[in-house]
Amino acid sequence: MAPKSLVTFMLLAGTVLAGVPALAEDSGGRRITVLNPAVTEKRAPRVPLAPRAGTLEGKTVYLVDMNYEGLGRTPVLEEMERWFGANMPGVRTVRRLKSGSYVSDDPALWKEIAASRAGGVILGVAG
Amino acid sequence: MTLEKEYGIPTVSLSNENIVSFGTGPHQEYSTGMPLRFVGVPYPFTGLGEDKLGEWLRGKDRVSGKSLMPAIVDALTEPLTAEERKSGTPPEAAAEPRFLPPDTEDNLQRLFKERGWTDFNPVILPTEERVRAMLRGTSHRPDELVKKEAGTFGTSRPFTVEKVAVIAVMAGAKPEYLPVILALASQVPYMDSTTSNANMVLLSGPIRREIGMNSGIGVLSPTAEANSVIGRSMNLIHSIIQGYKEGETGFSSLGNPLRYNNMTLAENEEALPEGWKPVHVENGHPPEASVLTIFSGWNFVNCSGSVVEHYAPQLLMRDFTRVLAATGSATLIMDPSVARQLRETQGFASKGALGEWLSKNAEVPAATYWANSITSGMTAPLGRQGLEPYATWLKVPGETLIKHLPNARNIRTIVAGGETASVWFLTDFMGGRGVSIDHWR
Repeated sequence: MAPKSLVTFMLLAGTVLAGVPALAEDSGGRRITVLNPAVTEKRAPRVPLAPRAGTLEGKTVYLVDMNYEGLGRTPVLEEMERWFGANMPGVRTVRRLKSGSYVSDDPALWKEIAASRAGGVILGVAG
Repeated sequence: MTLEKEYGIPTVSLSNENIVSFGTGPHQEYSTGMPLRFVGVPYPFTGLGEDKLGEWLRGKDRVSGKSLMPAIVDALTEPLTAEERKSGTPPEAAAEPRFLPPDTEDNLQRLFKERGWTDFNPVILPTEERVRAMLRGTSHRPDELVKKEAGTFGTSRPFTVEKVAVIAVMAGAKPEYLPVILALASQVPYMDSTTSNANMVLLSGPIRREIGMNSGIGVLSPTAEANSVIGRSMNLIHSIIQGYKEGETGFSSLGNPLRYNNMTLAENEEALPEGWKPVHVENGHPPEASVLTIFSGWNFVNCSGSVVEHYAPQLLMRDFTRVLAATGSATLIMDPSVARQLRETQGFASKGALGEWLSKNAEVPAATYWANSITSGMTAPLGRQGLEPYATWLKVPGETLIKHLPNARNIRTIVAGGETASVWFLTDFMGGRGVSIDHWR
């Protein structure tokens, strides 16, 4: 027969162990290890925005029509131009149609805008 | 970007409110690196009518919640935040571990679904043993880089042969499918659109028979394991490797049912009439090469019933081209019995001859041609710049019939099917030249 101290230890150990969560099993079955399918995407280098002047008063704002639907005009931009005329008459607006499709670049237009020292550009509308 | 970065001019981009989150989120973080200011405008923004424009302008900016015009003015005038002044290389995101923490099968299936790694059907969990077995399907090293610019807009999402093997296991592939799935993965990013396009995957050459691809009866139905699994793999590659997720990095308004299996098929090369070459041979590959070709487009039309004696098949094909999205392309998928009739009864000595005939005879009213955003958004600007024939098509009255498939080489034919009915399908899908599957053996 085991010594009384050993029996006591075993009884106490059983009591303690009964309170410890099972490590390797749960009621759903055995655990398995699988490879991770996920891919790590690399973040792009950060580029800061151009500083803002705090006001558009006395400045020129270009409304550049991306021509998303290829109609040659986007009426909401025309309405925006009317809004400036009625609400911010101190802002000069210039509306331009970007050349090519909505995905094409238009370096000539950007140069024109830069040369005019525009206070801002509204570019739209992307669908 | 050029205006802000190179010329120092404040800009604000107006975007459809339902997709603006892409511009302010993933596109900025992974593609441009610039925290461009966006205003999310009410959708739709065309076809409103003059009386509704003022009301539209009183809508709300989806990004800031402010009224539209004050939001636009603020975007051009409010001082930059600390975030908007940042420059340099951001800290790299923690690399994904090679293994996931051990867990039960049920929990892993749930995790895979929650992480967007499934097509909402259970996957085969990629244990190390299964992936090792899958990798026997290729001679390429597991750590070999397949492609780096795998994300939408070519963002950097590098992935290895092993990653593709993991996905192949998940899809239920056999090791002998792996070279096909590697070829498929090498073609990301796949074409996507808010306007609900779809893709088609065509296998050509000896690989078809080697892996049991169906090119016969029920070819475009769930009839063969290889067709089904490879088509499924494309969807898993799309979401896991390319990172496509509806509402976050993709915004296909209706989705497209063709995406369930991506129309994965093999050409029935053995049933081609004399003089009609397989697609991959037409594209310049040797007949003995195994090639994968991806096609993309919008329209799919069933000929309705089968070919009749009193109306030659090419005439109905011509008539049906009126519904194509006017990408200037067409891909026919036809039963071998239709191909034989076209060759033997109608005299088309080659697929090219059929393409030439359709190019000369397919017509559509100019108004119909310009009545979709594909042509009006992409092609019309070219016409306004003087490019023919679009310049002329823009000027003619809407009822004028125009030959809207001017390039016969953009009209392709795939022969497949089981010869139980003389059926054909017409799509506007455009195909590439195809890539080598043999490279990945």
